[in-house]
Amino acid sequence: MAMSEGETIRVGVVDDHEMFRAGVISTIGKDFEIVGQAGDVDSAIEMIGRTQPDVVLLDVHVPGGQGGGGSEILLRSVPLSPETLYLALSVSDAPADVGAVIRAGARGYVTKTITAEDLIASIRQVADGYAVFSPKLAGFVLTAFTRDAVGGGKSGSGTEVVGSETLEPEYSAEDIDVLSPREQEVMRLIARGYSYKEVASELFISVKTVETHVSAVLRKLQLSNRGELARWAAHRRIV
Amino acid sequence: MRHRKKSPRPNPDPEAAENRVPPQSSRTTRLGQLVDAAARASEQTTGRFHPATVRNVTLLAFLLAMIGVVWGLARNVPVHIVFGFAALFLGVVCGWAQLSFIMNHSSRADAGTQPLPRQNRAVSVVMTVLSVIVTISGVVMLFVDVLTPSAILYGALAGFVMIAAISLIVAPWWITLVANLGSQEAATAREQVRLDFTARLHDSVLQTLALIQINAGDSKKVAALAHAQERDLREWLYGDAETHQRSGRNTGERAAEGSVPTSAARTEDPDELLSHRLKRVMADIEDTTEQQMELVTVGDCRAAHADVIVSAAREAMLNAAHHGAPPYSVYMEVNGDLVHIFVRDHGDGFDPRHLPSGHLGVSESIFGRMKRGGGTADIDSRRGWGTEVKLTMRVDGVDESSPAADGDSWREESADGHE
Repeated sequence: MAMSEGETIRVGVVDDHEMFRAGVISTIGKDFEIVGQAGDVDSAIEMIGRTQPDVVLLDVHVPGGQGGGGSEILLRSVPLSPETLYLALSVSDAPADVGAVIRAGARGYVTKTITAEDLIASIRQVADGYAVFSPKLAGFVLTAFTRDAVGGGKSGSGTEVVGSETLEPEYSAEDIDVLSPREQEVMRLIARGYSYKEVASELFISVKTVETHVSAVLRKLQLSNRGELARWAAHRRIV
Repeated sequence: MRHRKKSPRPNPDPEAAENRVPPQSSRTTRLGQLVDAAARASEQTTGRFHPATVRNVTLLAFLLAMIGVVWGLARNVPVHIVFGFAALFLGVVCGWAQLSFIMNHSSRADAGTQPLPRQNRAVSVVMTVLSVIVTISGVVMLFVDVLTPSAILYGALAGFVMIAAISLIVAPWWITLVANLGSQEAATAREQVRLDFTARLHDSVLQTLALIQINAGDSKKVAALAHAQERDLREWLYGDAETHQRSGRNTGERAAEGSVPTSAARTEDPDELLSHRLKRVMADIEDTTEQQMELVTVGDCRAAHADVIVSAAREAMLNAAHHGAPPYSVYMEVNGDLVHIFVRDHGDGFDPRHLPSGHLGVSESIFGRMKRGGGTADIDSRRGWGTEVKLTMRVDGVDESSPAADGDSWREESADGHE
């Protein structure tokens, strides 16, 4: 769902820390229309269903409901508000935390230490239908998808080495588990701390193409059943 | 249950208090000494109390039994009944005395960690066996007149079978009871671990908060402190135990010395993973330079094989922190037997061929180091874009079987990186 220019993006904020919620709202309130906020799973689902926001800033750890946190909100809200897009907001960098909510359908994630302007840019990016990748998430994607990169005891092995499929330009059902060389390059540059714009000029492609690659990777991340990703999604933190 | 386990903290159990007295005595107050003395005294009294109780109870029971016997004989009650009841009484009372003795012991604070003293245990076993024998003989005496010896034998047999059957029926309850006790104890232990954990955590957070208050005027320092604390917390909550112990120790030292980097942070551990080593090196630089960096790693290998590239990366990070501008990104990838490290900053950039004075060390510390170690280094720096240092090195001892499938894309990238 692409937003037309000039239209105010309607944002919902879900976070159980009231102070943080208030801070976020005061930070982004000038640029977006804040249509609702919630501090737990059930009220968040109710809020999303009622206000139909364009983008929901979704904390990964939210109490209530069946204990599923952000991913539960996302999964249960989709039928109520199918047009809404989600940007996960997490205090933790742990892949397991972010993984579950990405697999549930979030369009990306940012950590809570993010600067105000980056947060605003990320919300716009999500509203425009693109994915938001942090260097950490890109690093995880590379770990999960490139078995060669797995050296130090992590068991990404056991899957067969697919050489030829990576070269195919089109996405077929089979290569959902493999990143194309271009996608790998994009992911690597993001992991190295490049912005989308810098990635674009580095690879002599447009920013839109970078965003397309990133969205394709996100889709693979959400649909792939690679062992690593499945474990990632299944994992629930018990702390 | 909970109360008992928690109590050792506020009022230390007597034995521990006694052990702790010598080292403490130099700085404890008079009041403290009095408390310690009281604790020791109470320990001694309770220590003496137990055998005395058992003996007293046994004597008392014996006395009561004698009185009963005399009274029964005077009243012309049949001899065997009198002595039977007396023996029964004696046996049962002694048995119960044992129970109260055991309970008394286990209700003491250190019962969980210490078994019954061996001597006391021997005494209690003997007492129990004796009381059982006395009780049985009492029962036999009671019925010796009414029943023939064979009937008593059969009766005993029947009684035995009945006891066995009943204990089988009761067994499930008994087992649940024991299991509950075990799980409860485990829960208490977990709770204890959690309390220790949060105590340490809160302690470090409180210290950081104190430092932040002291340095409230210096926003850069405050940000660095907050970041260091955040990093430690993150390690505690989500990281692996190995790194957080180290980083915790290091930050502790650094905090004590006022943010002076310690050489202790560079202790070598042959089994350490490269990602952990880099994280440590980066934390060290973050604390020294009060800058914040982001580390992303893909793949891993033993750090012992990558000393050269780590020290070159360290130089690159220091350079970035001193001459570049945030955001700083460090990316490490182990691909087959190739290790790549990228250090990126978003400063003004510089021309690597015409290094300003501040960068003179770069060629030696990064290029020279990498060349000697058999690797390559490349600096990509552009005006208004920033600087990226690219380090590549082949390391031994990494999993040889995994093919370096992305070798091509790497070469291609480093080629256009020269520009």
